[in-house]
Amino acid sequence: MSTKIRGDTLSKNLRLKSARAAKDMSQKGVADAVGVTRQTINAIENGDYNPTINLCIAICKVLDRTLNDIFWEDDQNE
Amino acid sequence: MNNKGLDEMQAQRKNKIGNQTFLMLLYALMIDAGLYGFGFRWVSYPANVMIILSVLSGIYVVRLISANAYVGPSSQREKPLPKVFFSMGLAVVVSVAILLLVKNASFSTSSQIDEMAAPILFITAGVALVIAVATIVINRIQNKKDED
Repeated sequence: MSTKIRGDTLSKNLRLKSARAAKDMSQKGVADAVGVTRQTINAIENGDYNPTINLCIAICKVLDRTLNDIFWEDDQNE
Repeated sequence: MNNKGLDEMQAQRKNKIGNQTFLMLLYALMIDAGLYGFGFRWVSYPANVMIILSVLSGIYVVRLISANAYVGPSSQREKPLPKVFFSMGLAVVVSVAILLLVKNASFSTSSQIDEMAAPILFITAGVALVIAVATIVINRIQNKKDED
């Protein structure tokens, strides 16, 4: 299985959006839980910002998902 | 996560804007010095540097606000609009008071302060305030649009 790490041009992170919706949380709710601004979560979802691994882990913990579930991209998860 | 300061995206944006503004300041001062070297003096000495610094620091603040990198997550609770406008009005009153004080003070009659400096600085501050208010309004509209 070939994998691809996010490059400079980011695509929309729909998996983050769906995971957030599954937990019935708003962008503001996730942002407050993680300790960032709502605009940062919005930028990540829209692919405008590439978060650090620390922020990725914090988001995954809040949403009860793994890094693979939300941030890893391969042929199946793109 | 650190709740007191800016978050990582805000810090990144702030650094970028700061670097760009610093270079703009450098270029503006060099252009000013170059113009002086060619014999063109648009405003006399202390005022020209003050104007350049005021304008560029204004640009820096407005860009920070528009990029949402001025205040961190903890202090971003929505403030009521009347309070924001009251703060703006207070800032204008204080600016006018300081300008009047400087103009009427005895040291301002010396050649150190140019006659044109005060109005130009006041206009600069006024324009910056207008831009800041516009930016706040735009941010509020964008926030409402982004909300899911």
